[in-house]
Amino acid sequence: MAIKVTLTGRLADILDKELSLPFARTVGEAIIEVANMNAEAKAFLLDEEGKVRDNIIILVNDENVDDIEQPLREGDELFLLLPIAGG
Amino acid sequence: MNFERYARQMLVKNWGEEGQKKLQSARVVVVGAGGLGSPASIYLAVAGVGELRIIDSDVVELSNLNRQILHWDKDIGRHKALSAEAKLRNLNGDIKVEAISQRLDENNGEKLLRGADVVLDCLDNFPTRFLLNKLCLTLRIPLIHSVIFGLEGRITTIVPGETPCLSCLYPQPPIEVKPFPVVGVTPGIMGCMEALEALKLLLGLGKPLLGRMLRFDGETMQVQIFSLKRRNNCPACGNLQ
Repeated sequence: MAIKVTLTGRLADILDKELSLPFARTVGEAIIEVANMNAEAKAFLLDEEGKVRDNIIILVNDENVDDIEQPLREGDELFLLLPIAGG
Repeated sequence: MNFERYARQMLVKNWGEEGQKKLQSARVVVVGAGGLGSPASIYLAVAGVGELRIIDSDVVELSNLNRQILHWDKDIGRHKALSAEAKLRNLNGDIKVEAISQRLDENNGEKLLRGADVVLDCLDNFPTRFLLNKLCLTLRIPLIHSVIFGLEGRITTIVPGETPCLSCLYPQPPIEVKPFPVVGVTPGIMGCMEALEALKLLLGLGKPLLGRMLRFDGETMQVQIFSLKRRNNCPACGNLQ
């Protein structure tokens, strides 16, 4: 099973714009898998207790989801939108 | 009122003379006269929005000039609000433009925003964006929020009590990347979208981005629109109806 993840903003600069995650079964697992790739990415995605920050806009197949337990299926596309403030 | 200047936009369906008069009597506050605020206020000015208030406490720096198109070489060192006011007055002598060279804060916020029909969030940092969100909720003024990072832009329209607010989206203080990367065309595109949303709200036209966010990816030229949800326990708007 592989989930396609698209990263935006600083996350895309640090890692890559698109990643393929073979093991993630839920949205939360996918985010933790991405976080574990890089210390700076981890700081953006997880709080000090290792929990997924709730200021990430999460899209699965262009639908906004707020439940990180949501299961992911083969071929799902996950978008992680970090808060940005530039103008 | 001489409508000749606006003749072509008055041909837009459901705009007409009545719509133009609505714009003439409208007051819009643009907070931030930088990358987003420049194109947004230019298009509001030429569309004939009767009263524009431009709030920005910064002065023009050389590194602003790749994107902040209201400010030119000769303006370096000048207050952005005053620089913007001068250009906008020259663009359209029909309208009233007011420059406020102050930082929006808890003390002056309500006074500077009160009476606005629409507010545009053209800021570049989270603390002031959250303050502006809170002030617009208190005053019940629609707020058009846009942000950019590199080649990416996002926009949504916040109507107090109806749509998610900024704190619904980001309940924790976000980590801010400074300085953020920016190519002028990205805030150019997003600032134009903010102006368009404002005109739609003022005229009651079309379908504004209420409870929806548009994301523009300039790298791939993809546009996504997705729904946003209000948080029941939002500390900023949870008790608003």
